[in-house]
Amino acid sequence: MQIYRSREVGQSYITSVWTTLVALAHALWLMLRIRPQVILCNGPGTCIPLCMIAFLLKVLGIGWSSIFYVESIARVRRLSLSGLILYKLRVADKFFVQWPQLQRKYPRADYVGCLM
Amino acid sequence: MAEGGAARGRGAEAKRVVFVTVGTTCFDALVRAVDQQEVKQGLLAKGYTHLIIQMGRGTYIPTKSEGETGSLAVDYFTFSSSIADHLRSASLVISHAGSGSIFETLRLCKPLIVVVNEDLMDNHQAELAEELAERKHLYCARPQTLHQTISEMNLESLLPYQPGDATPVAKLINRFLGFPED
Repeated sequence: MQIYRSREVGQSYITSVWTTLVALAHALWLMLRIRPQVILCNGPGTCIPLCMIAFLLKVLGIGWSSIFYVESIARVRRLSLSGLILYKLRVADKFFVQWPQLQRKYPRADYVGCLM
Repeated sequence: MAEGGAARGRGAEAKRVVFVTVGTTCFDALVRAVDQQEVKQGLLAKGYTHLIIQMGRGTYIPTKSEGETGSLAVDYFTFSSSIADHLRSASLVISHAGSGSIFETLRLCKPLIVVVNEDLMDNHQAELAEELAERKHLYCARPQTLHQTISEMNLESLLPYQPGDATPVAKLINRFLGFPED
């Protein structure tokens, strides 16, 4: 099953506005069709439209999905952009990091050790 | 030691392969560095006999060599569907800093030198290589310092990497969803 990215690597920010809207619309359609109880993702940015739609539905009181995000093992000291967005906006119900340094920096994250 | 000819002429001497991989990236600086005489001599001095370079999307073509007496046998290719076999038959792996290559190599318990690509913007991969080097699971180098790392390395001092475990994540998710603990 394919989902759309809001922005390809290197894509201009101006055209990204349109592709992001397309990705969000597609994510909404997927959410309504599949109605997942759990969304488990690990970034990259492909997961953001889906997570934002799921979060928006929750905020509106019609949500049903738990959102779990696992930050990449390659992220040791800094979060990815996807991770930052989901952490700061408190979108994920559980935010997992694989290195202790990140847990110290982002206390609401759960440190789970290396998965690989 | 057999005179001249192909490396197979070395007869009963053990083949010790150095496998270089850049994954799907273009990392000419590493391929170039490995093609330097300094690096090749360094590898020979450490007892390696063969050098195989997986060069990915790189544009720099290294020099092939049959590996006559006193020189490394060198071969290269761009991609293969799986580098697992190459990793398994290698005595030393020199890799770009991709997490896939790194963990695939560590799980096979192969000595590893990770070379960080300084031309990449926002090089967060370097963080992973540096952290694992600090924990003594591998050596970390830059293309310009690779020959130094090779001559100074002591592979016996590397610590084996214990494979990761996804159970903690599963437990926390189950707990959040309200499933009973096993």
